[in-house]
Amino acid sequence: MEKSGRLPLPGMVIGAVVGTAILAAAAFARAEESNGGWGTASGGTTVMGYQLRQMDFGYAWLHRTIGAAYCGYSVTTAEGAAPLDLPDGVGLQQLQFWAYDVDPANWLAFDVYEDCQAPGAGGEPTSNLLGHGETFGSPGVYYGTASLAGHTVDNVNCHYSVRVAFTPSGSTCVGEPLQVQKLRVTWLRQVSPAPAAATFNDVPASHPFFQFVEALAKSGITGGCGAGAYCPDQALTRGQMAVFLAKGLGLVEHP
Amino acid sequence: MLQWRVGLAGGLLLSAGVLAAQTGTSARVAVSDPAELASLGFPRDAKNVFRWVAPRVEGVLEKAAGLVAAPKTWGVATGFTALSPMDLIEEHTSAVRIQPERAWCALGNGGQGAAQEALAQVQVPEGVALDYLELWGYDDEPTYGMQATLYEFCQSVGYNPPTTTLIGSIGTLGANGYTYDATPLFGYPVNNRDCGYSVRVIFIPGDATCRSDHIQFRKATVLWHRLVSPPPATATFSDVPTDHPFFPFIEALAASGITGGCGGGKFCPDNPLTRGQMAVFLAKGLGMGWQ
Repeated sequence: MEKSGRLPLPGMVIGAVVGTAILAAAAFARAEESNGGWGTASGGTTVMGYQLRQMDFGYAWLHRTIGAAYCGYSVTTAEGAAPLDLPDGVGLQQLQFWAYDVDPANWLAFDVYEDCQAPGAGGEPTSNLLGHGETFGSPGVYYGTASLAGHTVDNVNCHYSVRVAFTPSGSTCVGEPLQVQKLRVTWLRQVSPAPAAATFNDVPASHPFFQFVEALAKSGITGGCGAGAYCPDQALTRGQMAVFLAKGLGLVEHP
Repeated sequence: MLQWRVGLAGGLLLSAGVLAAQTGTSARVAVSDPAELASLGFPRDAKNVFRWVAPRVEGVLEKAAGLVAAPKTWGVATGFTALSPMDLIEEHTSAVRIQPERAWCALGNGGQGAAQEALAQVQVPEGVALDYLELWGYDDEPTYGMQATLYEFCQSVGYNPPTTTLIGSIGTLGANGYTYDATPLFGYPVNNRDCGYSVRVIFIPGDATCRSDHIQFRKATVLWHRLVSPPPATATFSDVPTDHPFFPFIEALAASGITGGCGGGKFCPDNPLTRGQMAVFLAKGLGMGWQ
């Protein structure tokens, strides 16, 4: 079991020889059970282990394949990092990590960072540690999580990354004692909090739909129904719905 | 049949016959019309450009009887994820040289004749069905080749043994110059909760070293279309039973947290919608945020 994530090639190619004809049937049997992510309200960003780049080290200690990034040669703690491409405005839920750590004296540490610089601002960027997890004391295959506390993503001012520190117990990483297989950051979409002042005279701050109508206005999807009003109680025609949907989803044709 | 033998890191030998077996149910059609070549972005006298005529898989691929090249895509219902050479990451100790418009292999640690490998992660939306894998490249030696293969690597939440599945593969077999090819993916469903998706590009030298730039990776794309999740067995709302024509769609909105119905355990599917209610649906559905 311990190497199953590292060298998956022979099994995969046997699967290919069997042929693609069975793929469709197998695929649809699985679709029934894959309902973990409904629509767009919740989701996550997956980072394969091989996406990790080496940090601060002069030669190739980090080796990569589909199933893992592993420590090839290192005399001391070495770090890899990967960018996290997250939708703007989502609330971060959890870092999930799948790893392999054969020796209780080894460990892997996982950190999610937010680094911010506002447009036009000079000086030092701010760096925030949003969550931390590690495999210490858990020899063998490992699945762990770290809370990200609902932190809201701000793509206008910040970027996001995950850093992994490989700490081998011996003098080197010979024998691949530490492997990062896969990471995932889960999130929930949010509607921005309402502004203090209302945009439309018929949707005041006390209106139950105030926050949502403001979100459409700020996003440029609606300009209201004229004369500074939104007409929230007017029935929607199918034609108006087509405009809302096409603008909201940014529908573009590639002929 | 070319005498390709590909040495991989895992000690595997893969011959051209394996590639033929994977694609045997489909037909490849050469594109030679100068105007059509130009519309695909190739020189008007380019050779070895192919369109893929995919087999019909009932209920899966409505457009399968047509040609895949340059499919029409609209907004979010269908789309594609493109990979540039800059997305490639060298696998193991492979020697792959990367520029924004092309990646090619150089002599690596494997020495004379060794294949060189690189990986790129494919970020596809949750729940979509995969339609095609397309590959653009350059391969000016019949004894050289390049192969792009799409893999799914899964580990469910909690530690479970990983599984790797080969979803589809394309090679530049027999190409002599610029090459385009595509392979159908039969609506393979994406499960981002448990899995990650990767394209592995293998540069395969013939009997020489992986020198110069006889094999180049230019671009790959994965085409997909969105699906609505299959509905649950029992209905959430008393006025939208399982035999209601809109049942799967209303259940999808409820499960996503976009609607809680109109009160009293109902959804009121035939009520007219006000502009205010529409704003709530759209803002929640799109997760609208602003700074």
